Parts: sequence; C-alpha cells; structure tokens
Amino acid sequence: MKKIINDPADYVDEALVGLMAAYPDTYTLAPGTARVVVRTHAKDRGKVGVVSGGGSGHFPLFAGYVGTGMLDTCAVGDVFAGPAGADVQAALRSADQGAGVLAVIGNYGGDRMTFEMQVGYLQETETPAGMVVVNDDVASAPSDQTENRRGVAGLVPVMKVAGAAAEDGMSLPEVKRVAEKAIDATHSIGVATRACVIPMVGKPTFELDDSSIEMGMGIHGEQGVWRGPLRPADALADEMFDRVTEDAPLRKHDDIAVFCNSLGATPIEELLILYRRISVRLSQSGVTVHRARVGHLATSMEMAGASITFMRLDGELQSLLDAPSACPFWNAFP
Amino acid sequence: MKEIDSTAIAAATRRICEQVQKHESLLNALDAEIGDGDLGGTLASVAAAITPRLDELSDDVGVCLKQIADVIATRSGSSLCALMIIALTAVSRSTTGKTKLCVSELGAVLDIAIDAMQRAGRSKPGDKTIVDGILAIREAIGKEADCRRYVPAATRAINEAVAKFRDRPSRIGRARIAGKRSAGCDDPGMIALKLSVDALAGTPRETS
Repeated sequence: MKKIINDPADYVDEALVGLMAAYPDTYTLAPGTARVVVRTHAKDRGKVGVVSGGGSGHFPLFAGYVGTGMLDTCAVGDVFAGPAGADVQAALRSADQGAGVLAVIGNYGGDRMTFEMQVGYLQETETPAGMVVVNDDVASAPSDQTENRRGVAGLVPVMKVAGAAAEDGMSLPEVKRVAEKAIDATHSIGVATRACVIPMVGKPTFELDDSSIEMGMGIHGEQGVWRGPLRPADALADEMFDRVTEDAPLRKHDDIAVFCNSLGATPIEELLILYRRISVRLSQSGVTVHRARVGHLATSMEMAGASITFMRLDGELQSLLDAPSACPFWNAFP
Repeated sequence: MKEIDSTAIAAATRRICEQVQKHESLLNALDAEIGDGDLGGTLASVAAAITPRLDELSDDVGVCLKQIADVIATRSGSSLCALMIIALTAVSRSTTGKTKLCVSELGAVLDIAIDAMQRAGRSKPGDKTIVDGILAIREAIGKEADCRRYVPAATRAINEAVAKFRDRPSRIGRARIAGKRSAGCDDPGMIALKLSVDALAGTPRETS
C-alpha cells in the first residue's frame, strides 16, 4: 500500500482536518462532533436544510459538497462504511433552519437503514424531515429492480438540484419532489481498470490483473457486468453509452447534463478521450448537451476507471443545476 | 422460572464483545471474500466502545438495551450494525419498564427483533443474512419446553444454519452483488451471530 497518509486509522479524520484547513470559509465541524461537516456560514433561517452522508473514500463525495447552493451538512463514515447513527442525527439537527430537512443519500443498505432510523427520530420531535435515495447505477441491477441499484456519481447533480431548490426557498415537499425528479432523470455506469486499497485493510479491494477491466463496477469495487481484456476508449464509451441509453433512452431534442467522472486514478486526459466519443454518440442521438462536466466528482481513492452520468433536464432541473453555488468542489468544474 | 436482568445482559454482552474482538481477523477474512474486508475491525471497534459502558447500564431492561444500541450508533453505520441497532431499539421499546425478563420470553423478543430487521433491511428468509441465523435460533428455542435448553438449542441451530447456507448465493446487499462468488462463502453476519451464541454458551445466563 503506497499512499500519502500517516496512520491508516487516522485517514478519515486527518483528511477532514485538511479539508477545513484548506477551505475554512466553507467547511467546519458541528460542535461536539468529529465526523459531521457543516457549512461555516449557515443557511438563512426558514430554508430547508439538505443533508447527506456516506462512507469516506469517495471525495469530493460526500462532504466536499457541503457549501452554499448544495449541502448544509454531511455525516462522514469510515472508508467505504456508512456514517454512524449519532453523526447522522447530529447532521440532520445541524441542518434544520426551521423549515425541515431533506436527506439525499446513496442506495446502500447501511446508509439507508441508518438515515431512515434517524430521520424517523427527528420526525418524532415534530421536525419535518424527509429522505430521497439515489440509485443511478444502471449496471447494478436490472431495470425491473431499480430499488436494488446503487447510487454513484449521479448523487452529485441530485445534491446540486436539491441544494439549489432549498436555497431558492422551496418548501420541504417541493425540495423532495424536485430531488426525486432529478433522481428519476439520472443514470450512470462505470468501468474500473485498477483496484483501490482501504487504508485499514491494506490490500486491494479486489483482484484485477494488469490486462483486465471490469465494466459496471461500483464505487466500492462491487462486481460489475463483465470482466475482460482492456478495450480502446471508443469501444468502452460506446458500450457505456449503449448500456445507459438502453435503460434510459434519450430522445431527439432532449436537453441533458453529462458528467464524465474519474474514479480516482484515471487522469483527466483519459476522461476527455472517453468524452470525445461520448459526445459523438450524443450528437448522433440528437440531444442537446446543456452542460458537460469532466473531472473527479465521485471517486474511490486510487481506483482507476471512469463513469458517465446523464441527467435529462427540463426547465426546472436546468435552472436548479445552473443556480449559483459557493461549494468549492462543485465549482472546480468549469 | 429463570430470569434475565440487566446484570445478565451486561455479562452476556461482555462475553460477546470479547469473542468478537478475539475473532477480528476471521471476520475480516470472511468479509474480504464478498465485501471490503473490514467487518471484523468494525465489530471490534464497536465492542471496544461498548465494554467500558457495561457497568453503567440501567436496571430497566429496555433502557439498558437502548443504551447498548446508542453506543453502537456512535461507532458504526455499517449494514450489520444498523440491523443490530434496529433490533435492540425495537426490543427496547417493548421491554422498557421491566427490570427482568423471563427466559421463556426470548422467543417473543426474537420475533420483535426479526420483524424489525426484516422490515428495515428488506430481507426475506433465505437471503443468507444474519436474520436467517436468528430465524433458525427462534425456531429451535420455540421447540424447547425447557428454557435451560435454549442455549444448546441455539448453538445447534446456528451451526446448522451456517452449514445449510454456506453453498447458497447471497440474495441481498453487497454479498448479492458478489453473485456466484458468495456461494461457498459463509455470511460474515451469520458467523458473527454464531460466535455470539458460542460466547453465551459459557455465560452464567440467568438469575434464579
């Protein structure tokens, strides 16, 4: 394991301290917590709070997206492990500015159960609270079992939509409605070329020989749809495009946002090479790309690979996606 | 009639925590077959957090169980720990106000735990999870007229369940995604349960 770290046991906490040191005007910890990242400057009273949480090892997902126009708070778990219930409760309460809170999480069992429980406790205190679950990864389950699909890079534009809706003063039911619309419009797929290493485990999460790749792998190294020899980028792009659009067809004149994401180790040049072919396929399909973003949105430490995400836009989603945000990691993409 | 109070719960929990910490590497290795390989470390960390708090448990059985659940909730959000919290919280709600439970009530207690875990985890019997292990134990103790035979019955039941499910594929969670690889691997949650039952086999388990 060759990482730039100190003690593996301190990986998460030291990264959070570094985050706050680098961006002190954006990120701080909720008082009395070590794993609840909150905005340094809280949102105005009377607006819905937007909360997320998940395992570390995917930065900027999840805590990186705390900031004006996106998340209010985020509960942070160990690497590839869901956040503790006590931290989720603190994140929910810290986000409440008197208009209720909406949790936006990925479809992972531990996260879902923990957030459901904690949202339930908050509701018992008569604080309005809701939850939406992102399940954009088309490779993780068939189209008739979307409730089993994982949340991957599509989490990011959904958080953006929810955050913008809340900033705009929408009510909790409305923020939830538009977040669910965003989820329904968002589909992704990934391909991995090299494994990552969880610091406390010290060895690769899966075995993938030098010449092999895995199509459809999840952001924790979950098994994909096939494993085989590396193919040229254009062939990978075609397959990823076909798999996503077979599941969620694009219609001529659709407006979409496209996210081409590095899983961590894959450099931006390779993402651009992948996107080159994706953009040709999009053009051939007659859709209008309202915005493309290429970079590190939702990673898996040093896993090599990429994912693509398409979000179909209507006027409302487009406006919310374009709304200003002061979140450094959303604004990292031009 | 044999009874369980919070002193017995603390003693049993202490045994389980020691057992889990002793088998951290085994549980990590099992988890590495179909997951991240960190379940042992997670449970050991939870056990280390619980153990010092066992001297502070309330005499109220329900409150005592909620206290244990709350400690777990400070340490982990893993699926298995979430299920444990859900089970303990559900049982706590139905036992708050009692300072003793009859051992003969364990069947009903397990029913509450199973129901809560299945609803939250969306698992069904046969999915190859810790719930399948608890179901086997529940069925076994339901057939025992003598409460003193509950622990041996539970031991047999969990060992049989582990053997029965070993070659089946997992149908839920991260293990489901491992697909055929999960067949031939023991479910780490079921093994954690087996280790817990083994620990209880040596516990002074009731007050007279």
